[in-house]
Amino acid sequence: MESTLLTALVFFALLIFAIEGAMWYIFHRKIAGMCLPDESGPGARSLFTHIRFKAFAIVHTLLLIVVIIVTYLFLW
Amino acid sequence: MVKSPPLTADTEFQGKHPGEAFQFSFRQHWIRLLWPFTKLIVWHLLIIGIAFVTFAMIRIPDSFTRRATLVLLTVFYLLANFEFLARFYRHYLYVIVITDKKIHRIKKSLIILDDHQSIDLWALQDINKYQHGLIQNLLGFGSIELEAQDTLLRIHFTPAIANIYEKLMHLREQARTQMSYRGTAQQKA
Repeated sequence: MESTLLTALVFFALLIFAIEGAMWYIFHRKIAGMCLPDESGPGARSLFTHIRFKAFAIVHTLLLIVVIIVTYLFLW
Repeated sequence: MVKSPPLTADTEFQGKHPGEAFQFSFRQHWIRLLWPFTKLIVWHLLIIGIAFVTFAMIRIPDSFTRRATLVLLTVFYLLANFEFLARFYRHYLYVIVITDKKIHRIKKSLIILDDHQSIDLWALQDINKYQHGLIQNLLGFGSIELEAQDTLLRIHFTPAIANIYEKLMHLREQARTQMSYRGTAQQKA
């Protein structure tokens, strides 16, 4: 693999990790104490529970990275 | 949409008075996310279109220009995604909590906003419900206006508005009965 391609991929992967991680961290801190029902709790009727939010953040991060890797492998 | 009792640790929230009993909470209607989602789709289509024209039709021979274009498109792709993510998180950081005594509006954004507004249920003079237009009536959402002596609290994009309106009216009457009962008891004492 070409070194410039590798550099670009690593740069964007780190950037995505950093931004997604920071956003999740802030959201996680702020959502505490805002009546978000937990999956184990009896009030668990909302589509998004705490665990599902976490899963969503992870899937979104991976999706962005995969899309960029695939696109760069074809178009670089 | 409306999450009703039971009283557990899950129903704890910031700013709750020890004497308050949680009744229900709700967030804004999902339609609030429709525009950010549409914008995200439009950005994706635009980026795919530009990439198709640049890389499949024009076929830029210079590798530096080609790579620079790709990096630029990636930046826009990421910006569109992160903007949507921020809006998505913000949607869930806005909650209305109703207890037996108060209505709390907790509104936060990821960085710049952290509001908490409370209004006493018994002090509410008027509770108004507005549903304008076909979409609001079809999807059952609208605005609720809560008016106390010096305070006006507007809650837009209220889901299941008819149900919430009824519950609020009922809880206000309960709160008023409790207040008058306490007043009479104090007078007797």
